[in-house]
Amino acid sequence: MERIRDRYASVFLLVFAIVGYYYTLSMPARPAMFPRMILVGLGVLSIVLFINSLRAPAPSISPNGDHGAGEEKEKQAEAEGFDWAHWAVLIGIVLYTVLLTVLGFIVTTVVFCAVAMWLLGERRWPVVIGVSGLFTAAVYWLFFKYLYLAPLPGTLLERVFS
Amino acid sequence: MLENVLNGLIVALAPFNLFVSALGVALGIIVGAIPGLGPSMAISILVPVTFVMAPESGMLMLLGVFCGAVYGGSITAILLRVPGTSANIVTAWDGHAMARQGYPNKALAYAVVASFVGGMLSALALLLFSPLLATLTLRFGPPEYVALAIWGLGIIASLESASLLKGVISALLGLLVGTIGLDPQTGFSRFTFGNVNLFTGISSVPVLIGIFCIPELVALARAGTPLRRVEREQDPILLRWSEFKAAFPTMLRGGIIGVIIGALPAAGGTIAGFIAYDDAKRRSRHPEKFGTGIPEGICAPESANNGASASSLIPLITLGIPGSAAAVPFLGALTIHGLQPGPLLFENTPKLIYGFLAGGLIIQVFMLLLGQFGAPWFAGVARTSPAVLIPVITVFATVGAYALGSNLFDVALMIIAGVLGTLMRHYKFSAGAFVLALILGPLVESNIARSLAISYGSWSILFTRPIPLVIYALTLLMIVLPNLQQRRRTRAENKASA
Repeated sequence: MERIRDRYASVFLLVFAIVGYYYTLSMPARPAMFPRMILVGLGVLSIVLFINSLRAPAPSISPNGDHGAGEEKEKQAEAEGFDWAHWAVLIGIVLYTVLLTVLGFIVTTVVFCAVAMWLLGERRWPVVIGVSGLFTAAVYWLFFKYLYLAPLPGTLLERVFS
Repeated sequence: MLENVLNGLIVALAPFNLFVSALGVALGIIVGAIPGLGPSMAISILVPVTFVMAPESGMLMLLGVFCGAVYGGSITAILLRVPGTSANIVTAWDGHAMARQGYPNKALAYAVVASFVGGMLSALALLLFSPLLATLTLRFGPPEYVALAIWGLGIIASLESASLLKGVISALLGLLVGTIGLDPQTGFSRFTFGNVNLFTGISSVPVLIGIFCIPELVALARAGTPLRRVEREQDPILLRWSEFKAAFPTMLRGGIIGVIIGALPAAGGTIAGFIAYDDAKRRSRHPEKFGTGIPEGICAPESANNGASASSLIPLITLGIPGSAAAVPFLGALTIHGLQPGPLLFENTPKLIYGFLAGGLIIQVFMLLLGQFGAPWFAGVARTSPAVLIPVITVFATVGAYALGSNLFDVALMIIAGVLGTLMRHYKFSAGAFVLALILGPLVESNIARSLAISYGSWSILFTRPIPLVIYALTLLMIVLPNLQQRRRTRAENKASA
């Protein structure tokens, strides 16, 4: 399974390296030197990766770095690939960001938190409302008052509060 | 030196610093206890928050999170056999066994005291060795820094990914992305495609947040269910003096192992835990008892993983090379405060750095107190369902990414980095190597350029000076040895099963 993925990855990387190198041809020599070295290395290694992916399975390896949960869960999750969870999170973030610019921080965050929690399965009313509200207030205070961030293109609601 | 340390203590004891240290530890324990959330994620999300604080306060908070998280993971490891962070995988074995025998609080007590011992050793090492190492680096010139960067990247590449090959590829990708922007030497804009936002290059903090948090969020979303209720016990979480005395040597040894492993670039708490457990088992008079719930099985890994916490910052603040994956965001924190790791940090801003170093000791004390008195509460918090966690983290990450530049482009960067991070996990590449290479890339390039300038264009300067040669030899050793061991082990396994 991993080897098939490696094959796709190596082909992609090789193409990427070639395209990149082509792009550096339009640069003067000095700035192009380092990127070209890297791209050549990438190209070579992706070929090696491709060759490796055609051979027998390699011995399995040491634990991952310091982030995240138990190994068993990770292995299981990895095996499932690009499933609904992945798309849901990504679309969620993009949606949240876009809505931020439209509706302003407070409204978007409260609504987003509440809706997301509901969709993910949290059904306890007080928790949904309480956490959305409190959390939004806390982040609002932390980032916009304490840290003096430039407010996101805001809404009437924000002008009312400030 | 003593004067610096005392000044540092004064800084560390300032009320605000005490507050953020304690806050950091508390947050860290919570994050650590929740399976699916880890120190790298929490630290990278909090980096933007440290922006308005004095640098040492910010660093103290992040260090608190780090140390707290590595301890916090032991709570659920013991109570539910689910390690809160990968550094606590080993703790779950004996820890949960002891809990099931009816002594969960005893196990928790061992864990917190062992973590304290390990953490103290780590903080002391950080305090004592960083200045020494920093002065050593005064002898370092451009070729040495190139060697160092290659060392750091090489080790992260070999340890963090499915294969050395993929790790190096990840690093190369990171280096490549690091070249985006205006070339420091000539001012020529590389790979910017005319986009103004890319002129200054790809800022590391949004990428950090995206690459470390988003894949975790996805994993959380998949995992779905919160943890079950935890049984409470009547006894307090306390060790008797006799128990402490008996376990102390194991804690000490585990801690030392942790400190050393943590200080090595890229090897962190997880590996330290395994090695310390292995070591304790081999030295024990009853190795067969390991796994059944004996104290040493808890003390060794917990002390080791905390031992690896602060010490992983030693190479970071002196050489700019993170000692473990969770230390990478600290580089980001230094950068946003305009600080550069190295001897100048100690010369120009002694109060800052010694305040931070001394604060490390105080953080351990907070961890002990919070763990001792608050472990059951933290266990309860760890049961927060992913349905609540996911939106909360999403908002925090997004706002955090926006926070630094007040720029929505950074949020886009975070999202792209998140996709990349998920892709890398899926194809088993190393996100850590990528991010490290991204951060180190410009440094590598400018130092190579400077080296060539010194040598009038001769590349041999990178390979003929003594210090780089030593470093390269070390790199080769550290990369090749584990691979050889793996191969020997698999050959033995294959023979056994044949």
